[in-house]
Amino acid sequence: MANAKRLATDEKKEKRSRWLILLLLLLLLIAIGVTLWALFFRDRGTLTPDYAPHDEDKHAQTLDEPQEDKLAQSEGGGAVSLTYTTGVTIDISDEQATLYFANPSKSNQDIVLQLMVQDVLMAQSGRLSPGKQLGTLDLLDGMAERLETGGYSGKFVVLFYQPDTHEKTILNTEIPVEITVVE
Amino acid sequence: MKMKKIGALVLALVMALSLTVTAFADATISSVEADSNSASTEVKGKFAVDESTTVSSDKKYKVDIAWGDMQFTYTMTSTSTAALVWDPETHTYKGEEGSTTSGAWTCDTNENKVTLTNHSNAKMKAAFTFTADDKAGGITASMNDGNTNTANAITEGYIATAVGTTTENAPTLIGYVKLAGDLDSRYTTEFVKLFTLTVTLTDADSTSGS
Repeated sequence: MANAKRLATDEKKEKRSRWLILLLLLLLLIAIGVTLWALFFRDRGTLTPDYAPHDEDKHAQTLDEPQEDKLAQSEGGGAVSLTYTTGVTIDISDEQATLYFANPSKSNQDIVLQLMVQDVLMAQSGRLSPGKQLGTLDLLDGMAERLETGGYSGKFVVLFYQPDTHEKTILNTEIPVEITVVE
Repeated sequence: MKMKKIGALVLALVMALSLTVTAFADATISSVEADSNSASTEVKGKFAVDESTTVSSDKKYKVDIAWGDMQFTYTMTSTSTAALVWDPETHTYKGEEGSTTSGAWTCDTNENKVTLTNHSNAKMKAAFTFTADDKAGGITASMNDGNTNTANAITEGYIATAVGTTTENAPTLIGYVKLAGDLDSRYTTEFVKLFTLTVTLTDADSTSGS
């Protein structure tokens, strides 16, 4: 009788231990999953520079344009001129975006151009000072793998910086663009 | 014989005088009002492109944006004679017990102005959104179609195409930023960032523009 009781108690203990082990295994799997997601799949978010990058974008070219007077601006304010087209092509194999965006010499602000797809930052330029244009942007690391060939809706986010203090201004601009992804 | 000479002299004099009258007539400024017997014709010009020449439908976007320093001052006044007193618990100035206070936002002339100028061959739509900073608290910002108290708040506006205009007379859209609400009285020494204004530019032909 006593043996039977002991056996039943042992069985219960064993069952409890099994459940505990299963629970621990489950927790371990969840922890591994979260770690993998954090390492490889987590969207690290948009880091917008608060001050203009020191270096001109490596793809920036001098704009071929007629000489124009600088736009009038109030002290502490700003004045920019934006020239662009809304068609963007991304080549996955080159990990580059082909576009047209210019900051004419009559502007008074430096510019940083961001290319967003569905609110994910795909590319960010260096400094684009007045009189410079961009035809190419390098995609950020790992972004090409997140795209498939086809069409996407995206936008340019245009950030302005005071050329003397390099501080970001209180105004920025967004321009919807149509993105074609090719291989 | 003598009579002939006199006659010839008189005739020569008359002819010479008549030439002088003609010269004077040329030198006078013609009347602005047309003579009732004269007929005027306007000479007009118009630009056209030959039918065999194609005009590209490609859109070329060029938009100028100018804005003021956007520095606003919130001035608080007590509606009674009571002074504003320091509250050490909240680190703010408040009206004395029983008094009421009111505040108003002001800025230098046109420093709250945003001007968009369209040089594109497309009608453009501009949408305005404000993103509040931590320090904004309960303050709200709006874009307005004028700088008076009766101006209307707008969230978007349209700028006509630049086709058919000169560079100097390019179509523009003007808006004025206004703030409402109370600013914490701890920000007395310097201007603090309250909002970021985002101007979204789209081709109005590809959206439902008015």
